Amino acid sequence: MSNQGGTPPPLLAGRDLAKAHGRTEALRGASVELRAGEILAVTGTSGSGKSTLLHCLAGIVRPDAGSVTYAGERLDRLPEKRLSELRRTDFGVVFQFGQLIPELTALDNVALPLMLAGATRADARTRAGEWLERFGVRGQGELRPGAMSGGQAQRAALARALVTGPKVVFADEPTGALDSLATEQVMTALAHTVREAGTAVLLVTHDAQVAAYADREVRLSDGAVLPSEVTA
Amino acid sequence: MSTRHILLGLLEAGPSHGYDLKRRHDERFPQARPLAYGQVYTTLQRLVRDGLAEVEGTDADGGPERTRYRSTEAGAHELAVWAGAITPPAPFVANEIFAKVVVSILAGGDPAAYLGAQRAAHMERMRELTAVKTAPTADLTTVLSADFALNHLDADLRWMNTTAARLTTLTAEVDSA
Repeated sequence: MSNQGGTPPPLLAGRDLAKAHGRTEALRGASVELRAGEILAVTGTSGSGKSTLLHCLAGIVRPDAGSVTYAGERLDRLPEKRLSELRRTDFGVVFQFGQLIPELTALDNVALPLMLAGATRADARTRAGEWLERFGVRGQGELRPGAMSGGQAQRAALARALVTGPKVVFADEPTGALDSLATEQVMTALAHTVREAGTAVLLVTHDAQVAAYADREVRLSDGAVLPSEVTA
Repeated sequence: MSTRHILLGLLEAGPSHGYDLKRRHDERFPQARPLAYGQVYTTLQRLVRDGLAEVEGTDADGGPERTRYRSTEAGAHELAVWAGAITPPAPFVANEIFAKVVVSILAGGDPAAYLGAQRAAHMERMRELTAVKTAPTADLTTVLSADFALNHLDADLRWMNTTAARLTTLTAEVDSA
């Protein structure tokens, strides 16, 4: 990380974001900044706009108003082709369920993004194995997702999200379907790995114990960010 | 917390001096308040008086003389009964956070602002505890102790979130009482 005096500009910033789904206003002027290498928790009650915010910041949906800037580029104005490229090269995503392809083994799931980026199958599988190792599930590499426990599958999903060396990982309730021990294993593996790699994480969660793995927290309520209550 | 039972438990592992018991207590319960020496010696004397521990001997090792204690059969029985007894599921209604919210409502204060600040302080502490328990050097006792604190803080936090959401209704109820 290269913080050379002063506050560096945020890696990713959403400003005054608004987004409606039909008549429901999911976001109403939300602003949030993600700095390089930090884990930022986005918390709030159900329906507060957390997932919509993540989708806007990840370029998955375009906001109705406001701006999303990533590394100096206006994400909300990029053509779809460039957005897809960015999502492939710079972003990794992890959701609560179902992000692994059920017909492929864990190893091939993790190797896939590397092969899409041009790596040979052998090279991709070697690197995928290393990432599964980091997440403590190398032994499950030849299993299909259906044969893995929820915690193992999520760790494989994290390996897949990180295998291409993204700058930002977007994680939407990544432990939402796990028990507390599996949650701890997934979050510990995630936090250690991204801190080592200097990857920033936008972590959407309703669980305070998961948010406690983050460096800081922003809270959403009714589609807007609540003012921060700093105690220090 | 029952200091006498914890000391009895530590004595079950083998005879020990007061000084060693204090040190082992503080290691085993890293998030608890360290035991005062005075409390250790007073408790040991009471355990001896009640027949739950006894003096095994004294050591000097060139320094001041130290009394070595060991658990008795009655002590082992007492410990087993205590360790297996159900702890009443405490309602914790005497909690200070709860009291402050109610008093703040009664006195026309700003309970929402207090809850927000308290919530931030809880989150900060939860981040610290999470760092403690996920450190590569953390042993099982540290992890268990951090987990215990985290789960209780989390329970407070959920109550604070719900209360913040309910505050309008709650204020009306307290005002009309």
